[in-house]
Amino acid sequence: MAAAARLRLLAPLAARPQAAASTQQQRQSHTIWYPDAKFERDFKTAGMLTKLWIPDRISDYDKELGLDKLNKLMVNAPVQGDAVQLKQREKELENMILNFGPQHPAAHGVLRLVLKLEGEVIIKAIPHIGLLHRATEKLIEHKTYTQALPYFDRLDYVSMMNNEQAWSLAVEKLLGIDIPPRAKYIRTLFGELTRIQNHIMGITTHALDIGAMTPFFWMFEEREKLFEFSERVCGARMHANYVRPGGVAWDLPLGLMDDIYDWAVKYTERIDELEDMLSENRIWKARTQDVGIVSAADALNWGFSGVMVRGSGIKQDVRKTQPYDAYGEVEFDVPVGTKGDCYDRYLCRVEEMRQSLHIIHQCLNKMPAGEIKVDDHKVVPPKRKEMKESMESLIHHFKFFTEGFQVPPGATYVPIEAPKGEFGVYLVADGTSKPYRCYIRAPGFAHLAKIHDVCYMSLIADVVAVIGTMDIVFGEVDR
Amino acid sequence: MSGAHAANFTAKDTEKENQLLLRELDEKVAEVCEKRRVYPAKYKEALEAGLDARLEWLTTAPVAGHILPAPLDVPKIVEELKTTSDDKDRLRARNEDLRKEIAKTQDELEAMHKYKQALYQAITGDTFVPRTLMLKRALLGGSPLVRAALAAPLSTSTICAQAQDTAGEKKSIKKPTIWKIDENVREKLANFGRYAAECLPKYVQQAQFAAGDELELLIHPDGVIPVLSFLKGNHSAQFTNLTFITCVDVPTRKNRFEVVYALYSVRFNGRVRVRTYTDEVAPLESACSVFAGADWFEREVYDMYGVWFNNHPDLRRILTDYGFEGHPFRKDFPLSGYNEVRYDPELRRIVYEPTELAQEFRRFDLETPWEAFPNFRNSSITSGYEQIELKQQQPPAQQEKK
Repeated sequence: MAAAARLRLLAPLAARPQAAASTQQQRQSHTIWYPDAKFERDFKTAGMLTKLWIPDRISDYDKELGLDKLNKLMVNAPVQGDAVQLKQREKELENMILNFGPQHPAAHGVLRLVLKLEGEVIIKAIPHIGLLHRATEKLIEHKTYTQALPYFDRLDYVSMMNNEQAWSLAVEKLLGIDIPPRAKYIRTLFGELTRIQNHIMGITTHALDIGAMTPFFWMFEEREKLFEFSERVCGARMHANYVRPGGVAWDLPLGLMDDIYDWAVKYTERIDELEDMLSENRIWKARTQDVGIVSAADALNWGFSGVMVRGSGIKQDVRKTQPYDAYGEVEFDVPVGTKGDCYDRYLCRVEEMRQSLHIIHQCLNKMPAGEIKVDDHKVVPPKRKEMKESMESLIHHFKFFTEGFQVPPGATYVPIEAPKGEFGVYLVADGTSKPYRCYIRAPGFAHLAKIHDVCYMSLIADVVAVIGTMDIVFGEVDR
Repeated sequence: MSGAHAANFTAKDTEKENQLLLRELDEKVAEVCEKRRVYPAKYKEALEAGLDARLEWLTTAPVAGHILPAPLDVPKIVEELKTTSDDKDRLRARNEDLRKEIAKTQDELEAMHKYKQALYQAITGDTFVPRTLMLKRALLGGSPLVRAALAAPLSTSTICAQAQDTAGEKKSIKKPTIWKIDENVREKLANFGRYAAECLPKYVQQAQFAAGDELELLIHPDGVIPVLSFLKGNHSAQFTNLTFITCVDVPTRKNRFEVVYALYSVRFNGRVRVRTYTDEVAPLESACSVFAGADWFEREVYDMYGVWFNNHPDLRRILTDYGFEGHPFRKDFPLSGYNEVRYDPELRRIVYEPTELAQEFRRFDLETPWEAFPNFRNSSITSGYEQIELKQQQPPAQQEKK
């Protein structure tokens, strides 16, 4: 009996897919049913959600009874009971509100994106940020300039040394000092290594969200190697605390440049592997081309920077327009896209990785000998050996680590080309050893602000692609 | 000896001499190769194979350009090697010639560069430093830069952070650790500041330089929209990119909040900051009508400081918690805040409680008893700025920063 039932279930299996296909085809024809006249008639006279039975065909007997007149009356002049409280006839439809919540693997950190959907199409995207707000700027106001430096590692926590570069440059500008050339080259070298790190993270997590899992695993091994370089130079894999106002903290250890060279000559092949996987992949192209298009005028109006404007065709790169550190002395190209969609931005980032390699090679070749810190010991702590031998150095060491150096009053905004865009520090100093106000201009903040405008009328899957292409990291958005 | 060269040798008894000279040559080549660590094609195998193979190679090898600049002309070399007395003098003379040639080509390059610079200066009135590819392409592409130079008081499209004039160079050599400021950029920004102040005399109260070369316009709070739309729309300004909007709280002033708008011009590669002031209750006009990207920045300023913006599309909290009261970045708001949050296992949810610290917040007074900056004695955060003379036409008066 049960077997027969199962057989019966199995028998129409051949017929079932077709039936399913036909219903699917019916569904796919995008007919949205709206209430028609019959529906209106049936539900018009009912105050509650019941259906009134009005027969279609009325026989002669019913006509003699007068049922047709009664039906006409009920249809044309509905009478409601006293208990009726609901609205009739008009039903309000609301769009679905989906909470693309703070805990979501594709939400890149803690992004609460409240989406209002019409089917699968987004008609409103409201980001709720602030879930990682740590009041960094207020904390910095209570710390000395040296103590404030590690905060910058933790802002955009995938590109650490670039953030530190911004802070160091701002402080150096207010102090009015210029660092030795070796320090500049070291900063540039590690800035570009960090840029590669960031782009690996950005591209591969973007791919992971879209569904391509493989590049993530392949490229994170390279990221491990970069962490190793970071650890060798400053002791910490991620949060380096290395690029300080006045230069860099320690000199490059012996053999590090050779190892960076060895890694760099092999890294081109890794980028090629990544491109083989993604760039000509029709699934990738289908998911990223014509998705998240940002026009050039809009990009500037909305305060975008970095790859978001370069993907739309604007030649804007702080390393070229306002060169800092050694960027004026190294040669590199800046890739610029044409269409402003996710695919162009992805290609820009990949090419930026190659250009970073070019810069790294030049830095390794041109690395000058010399000191790595300014020799003004009011700004930079003296070496321990000197501190133990010289009274002056001891006093400098003591004053540096307790009170910190004083920065003359003034205000400055120094932008750098962080991998995500234009990262800058607006620093107001008041002559004491603590900053008066430090505002951190994060590129992700401006990018995420306009996610509604970028994602309007696209699908939920496209929102994921757009968040990935904006390279949002909540450390800097929320600060 | 290979047969091809055999005809060049005069007699068999000089063959031995030639052999010896060849061996000398072979030693010399080996030495040079070892020093430079570069081996020409097939020479390495010849090295390992033995003396005969090496001699074979010496007589038959193709041009090994990076060691031996010309094809080995064995008889000539043999002739040269014979005359060993003035060998060194000849080599020295040859070196001198080579050096002169190199210097000549370098001079030529310098002259070409200077010519390009002069030409560009004649056309556009800017000093041109062809260091970046972007600019090279622009120059090759043609006219936009020319148009820019003819049009505007502000055309800072060719900025390099290093000063280019000789006085700057001398100063920079003497004081290598001073942050270098490009005087051309400064002058152009000063001109633009004066121009803006002339165009908007009702709102622009002062134009100044912060940190040497950053133009700041101080305006009246009513003038937010006029000034921002001027800066965005004016053809010789074109500050189309909004960089940030932020606020600084100076509680000792009557108008304690100072709102700063930073703009960037892609066209002219220039930056400007616009500063206004307001107090806790007076609202400012929202910049969203000028820059659509201003909304989140203004929301943040409202959330953190309490500055209200009129006509903002959606002014509400952005970074603080959902029910948060107060404006945290004000100077009178304590660093540890008023409420703290913890998870209560009995109620099994988070609860808000007044802040209780185990140890009181210690703010160390690290001020040195000796005055650090006597020049800035009377004014603290309002100093460090150099005002631009608005009435006169001469370049701005420069005060000493330190």
